[in-house]
Amino acid sequence: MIFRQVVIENFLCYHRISTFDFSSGLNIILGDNGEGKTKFIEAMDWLLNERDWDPILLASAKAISELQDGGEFKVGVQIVVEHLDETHRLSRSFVVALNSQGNVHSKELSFVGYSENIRGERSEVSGKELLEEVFPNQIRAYSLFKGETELDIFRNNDNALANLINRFSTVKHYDKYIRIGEALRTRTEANVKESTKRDSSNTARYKALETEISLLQSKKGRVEKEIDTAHQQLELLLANLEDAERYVENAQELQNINGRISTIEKDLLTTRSRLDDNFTIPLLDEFWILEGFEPVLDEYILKVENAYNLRRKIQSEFDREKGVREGQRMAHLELLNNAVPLPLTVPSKVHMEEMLQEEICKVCNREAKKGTDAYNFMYRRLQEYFKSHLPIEDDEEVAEVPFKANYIDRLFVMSSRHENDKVKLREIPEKVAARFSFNEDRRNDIARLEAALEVEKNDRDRIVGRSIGEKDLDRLLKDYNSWQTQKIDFQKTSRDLEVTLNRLNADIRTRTDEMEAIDKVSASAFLVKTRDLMRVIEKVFKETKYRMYDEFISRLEDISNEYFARMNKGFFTGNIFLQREEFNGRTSVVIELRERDEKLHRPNQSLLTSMHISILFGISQIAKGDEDESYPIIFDAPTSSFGEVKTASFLNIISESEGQIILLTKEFLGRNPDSGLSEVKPSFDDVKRSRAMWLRVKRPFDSNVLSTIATEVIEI
Amino acid sequence: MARKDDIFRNFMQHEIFQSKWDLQSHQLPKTINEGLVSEIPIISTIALIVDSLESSTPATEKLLYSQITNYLTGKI
Repeated sequence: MIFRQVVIENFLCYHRISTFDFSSGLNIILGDNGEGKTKFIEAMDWLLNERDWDPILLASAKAISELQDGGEFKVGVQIVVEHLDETHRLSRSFVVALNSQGNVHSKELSFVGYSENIRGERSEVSGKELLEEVFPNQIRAYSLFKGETELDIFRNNDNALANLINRFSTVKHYDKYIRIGEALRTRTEANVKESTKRDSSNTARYKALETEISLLQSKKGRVEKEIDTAHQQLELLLANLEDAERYVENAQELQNINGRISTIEKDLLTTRSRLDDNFTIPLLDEFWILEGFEPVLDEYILKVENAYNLRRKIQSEFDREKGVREGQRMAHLELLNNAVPLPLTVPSKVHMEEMLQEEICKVCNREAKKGTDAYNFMYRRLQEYFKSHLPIEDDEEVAEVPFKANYIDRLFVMSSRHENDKVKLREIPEKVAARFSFNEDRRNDIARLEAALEVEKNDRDRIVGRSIGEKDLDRLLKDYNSWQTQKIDFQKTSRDLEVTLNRLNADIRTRTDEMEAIDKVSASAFLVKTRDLMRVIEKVFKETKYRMYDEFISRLEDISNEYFARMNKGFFTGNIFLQREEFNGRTSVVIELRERDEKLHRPNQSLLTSMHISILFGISQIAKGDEDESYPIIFDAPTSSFGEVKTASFLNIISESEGQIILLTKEFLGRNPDSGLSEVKPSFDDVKRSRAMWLRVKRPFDSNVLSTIATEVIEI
Repeated sequence: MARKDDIFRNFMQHEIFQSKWDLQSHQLPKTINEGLVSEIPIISTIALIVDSLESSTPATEKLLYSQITNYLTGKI
């Protein structure tokens, strides 16, 4: 039987109709956490098993939010299965309606089946009966596995493997022989005893032996019960100890990983803070905006330089003309040897006028008659004195200035300063490149750190996924020592009880032998022979069943180990060891991982998971061989402890399986560094499969508002 | 081969037939019909039980016991 199609309608995160088409072989459904994987499993669980779940809680919140007064919508899960060349449909559904008072309620819950024969004729049948026909409950119970822990069905249920063996092997046919063998032997023993008692010669002793045996049997029964209890308690204790040891290891591992995650997160924070994508400050304050401005500046400097030179030329010409005039004036004052003249006030005005009036130069004590050079010199000097005391005619002087303001000089100063700035301008491209390169390096650092963080978080998910939670860890550790003490006590009790049991068996054997000796002389020979014959027959029946059981287990062990070795190629595995165990009439199967006949001490979760899956595949393969019919197995995240490489290898192996496998996993999904959205990794291309789908919540959505969530199914 | 023959043959593979009756595998009956005519009482008794339990109307334990004792009378 295989699932051809699953249609989910308005069920939890599946809004409106979502269709999954499946093939035989391996069907992979990818999905990140919270994108709809678990809800798919819950939809299948709801359809295949009688779940007493409140229908309203199963309806899509988004569909409910869209309901209007008097409106209604269907919620349902439908599967199309192919079984023995016929197509069947199974549909479990109900209707959600909104009444005028604004109350949402469910109605019309139904589970119907439709069978379609080879000729295409379809008929409606009971969903329950059809489901049982195409997918019997006994198999269904071992077809849906959520997470790694549920794979350990053999630990969760002592009889699980025994039940599966009974279901899939011919061993169960031998049960009735064991029952009839025991009944016939008991009857013949009773007949022999009755016959012996008819002989009065040994009656007293025979009865005494019978009473003693009865008392011993009674004691034996009690001791066996005590042994059984002690064994169960010891097993429980050993399991608890094993759990505690695994969790202790997990806790240590978790602590290490949390430490690494903390370091990576700090590094990420630092690296992100160093990433400088805001270019407003460098553009405006550090003048990056001026990159490429140098030609403009050069043109500016040239123009200012030209203007400056022109100004200097004009100014120089002006100064030269002014200098000529001044020179002419100064020429009259020229002294011998260009000596510096005395101030105009020396000699004073009064002395000069006195010397002119007396026509004598009293400075050099010589005559200075009118008309002589000496007299004229003194006269010009007095005139210059007078002239120096006249007010200066400013307007005339200003009018002679060629430039009223000194803008060009200021421009020239600015230009010179900018000339120096050219060095800075030339540094800008280098600075921009350095900043971009720095940011690129930081982005690479961030991507590397994020990848490392994802790896660590996945590892943490794996550990937490198979752990009992950090809260319970303390309690477990406290119990650990007390369990160790109890273990020693129980082992001693068991040994003591075994000794008592052996003694009781010996006592019973002695008395039984004595009784049988009496039987030989007192009872009918025919009855004794019949009894002995029936005892042998009972032994043959019982041991044949055990042999069949052991052969089945051996075959299962071989096939499981083949899967196990292939699944763990390149890794250390050890071997799966299966052994039948009989105690107090109960048959159970011991499952262990061994290396050279020694039980492996605390194998890792990945090995345990692959062991459980290998046994399941082994059973599935044997079942197919025995019944010529296989059944689908659905796994949700069965390889959480594997890691991507081992998961890929595992998937490639199970893809060769002839039976249908639907496997949901969050592996092979990564984050796009640019968009931050999840995407299918290229490594998934190397995974062999029949079909693959990707579950993703439609964007945008509000992670706090359920009514915005709708999962879409994308065929890959 | 019928299921009852398979079951019978599986019983015949028990080592006790070799160790106690010194019978080699080729000397052991392969079918119920061969078993029913065996001169070895335990073999014919097992054949009788298998034949009965695998029939469409299996005998009760009491009736089966009666059939076996009748069958064994004079043979053991």
